[in-house]
Amino acid sequence: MNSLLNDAKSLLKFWNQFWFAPVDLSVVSLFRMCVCTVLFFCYIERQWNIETYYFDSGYLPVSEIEVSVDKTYNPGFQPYLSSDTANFYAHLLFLGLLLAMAAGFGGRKTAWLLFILHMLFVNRNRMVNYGVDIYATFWFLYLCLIDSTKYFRLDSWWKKTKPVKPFPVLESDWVSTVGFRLIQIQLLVAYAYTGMEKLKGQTWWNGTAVWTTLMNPQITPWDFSWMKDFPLVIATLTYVTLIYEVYAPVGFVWPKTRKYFVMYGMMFHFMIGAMMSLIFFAFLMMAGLTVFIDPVVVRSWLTKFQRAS
Amino acid sequence: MPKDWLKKIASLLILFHLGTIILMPNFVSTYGRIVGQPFLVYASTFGIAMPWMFFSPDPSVILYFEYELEVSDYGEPLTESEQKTYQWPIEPPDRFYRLDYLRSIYHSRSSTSSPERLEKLLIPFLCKKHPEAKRISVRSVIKTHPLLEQAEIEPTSETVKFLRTRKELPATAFSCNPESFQPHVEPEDSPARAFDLDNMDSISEDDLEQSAE
Repeated sequence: MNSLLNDAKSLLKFWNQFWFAPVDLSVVSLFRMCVCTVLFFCYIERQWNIETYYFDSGYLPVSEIEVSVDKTYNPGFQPYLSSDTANFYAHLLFLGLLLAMAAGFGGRKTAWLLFILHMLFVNRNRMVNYGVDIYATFWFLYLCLIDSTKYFRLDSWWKKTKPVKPFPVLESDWVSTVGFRLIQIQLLVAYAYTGMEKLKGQTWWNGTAVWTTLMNPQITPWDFSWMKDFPLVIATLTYVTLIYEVYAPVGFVWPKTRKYFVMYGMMFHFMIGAMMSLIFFAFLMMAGLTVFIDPVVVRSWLTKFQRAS
Repeated sequence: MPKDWLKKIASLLILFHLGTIILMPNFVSTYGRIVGQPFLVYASTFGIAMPWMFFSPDPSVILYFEYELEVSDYGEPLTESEQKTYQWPIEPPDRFYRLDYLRSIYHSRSSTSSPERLEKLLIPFLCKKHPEAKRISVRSVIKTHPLLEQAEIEPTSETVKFLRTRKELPATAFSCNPESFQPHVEPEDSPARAFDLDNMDSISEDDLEQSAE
């Protein structure tokens, strides 16, 4: 009985330590800078085509929004802007705030504004949302909790700042820690589910899924039919993808394998981006992986970032 | 570290959020059915109800729509636009930067996932693209990928694309009258067909007119 009680106490201690103890904010600042920069460039395209995506004359008139949403699976409150003019200026504001966040200006309040504006567009036309928008929703939501603009700020280029300490500085408030942990867990949940969903597919089992992906001109702009001569390479790429995604929760959590999973993940997403022209999705995933980089490494980058001034 | 009472409240909220992100991708499970509703309301409000199904269970087939316009009245000579077969989504000229193409693919699939969506979302959009059209006749086209085993025995990679199989559903004509987007029955009474993209097997072979590309 005493042993059980001790185990419970240890578990509670671990829980408190994991969720509420301070963490190094340099890692999450790097995450914020990368995510917001990628999204800023990605959403410039959305501003360019805003009439098609969000105006009444485009894909989805306001009168038909209800038809585009399955209310059985979307019972929550989903506000959107119905005026074309409001959508236009709200998107401009959204881009401006994204740029400010990428540069390290603003903070939690700016993140909240970004999240709300992002949701207004997500809800206005769900039919044009794809992977980048889905991850953006999660990352904005978690950035609302985090003091993410302490480091990797553009003004540190021209302002005199204190020298960067080379070792992790545990300085975050507990709400930032919660946000940081949620980003880490979210990424692992997404990887694990993506991998497990693939396990249901015949082509992922027989090792030809990468072939069927590369043969789809709606997915990739290049002609990969020459890969027919390398069936073992195709099968290896298929199975390595599966293993990486299914075992991500273990690989990223275990300290001994973490850096290899981060390095492989960066390469994996870069290759997907290059081969399938999913440029922004690839860079957003790579930005997400930064939350698993060792703070000591991030601080060495931070030193270079500030010296660049 | 927060105060104890704050820690308890925060822990409960964290547990609820963790429950949401773990349960939502498998909402059709028994857990989802019995205890999922509060999680679903929270998840759909914050936009975090996600199935995480990238390239799964299998990478998708090629799917697009071909359509023809009806512009002139019966007996009149066909106009230039009537003699064309259009495609949606339109393939982009740029090979690498094609974000708008990706979004149009998502739009085309989402706007045809039920007969109601097809009539109310895709058809009015196509009618707006072609204001001269009185009616639009749309058919869905699926191209399957060549099997790797078959491709391996092809002499050159240039011939691999000919192994693709083209399948199409019978065309359905819709009126572009903005008062009513009811499908025009053609050639005999049949409901407008839409794809269940999560279940491509639901399209029976009888529905498909199959021909080599």
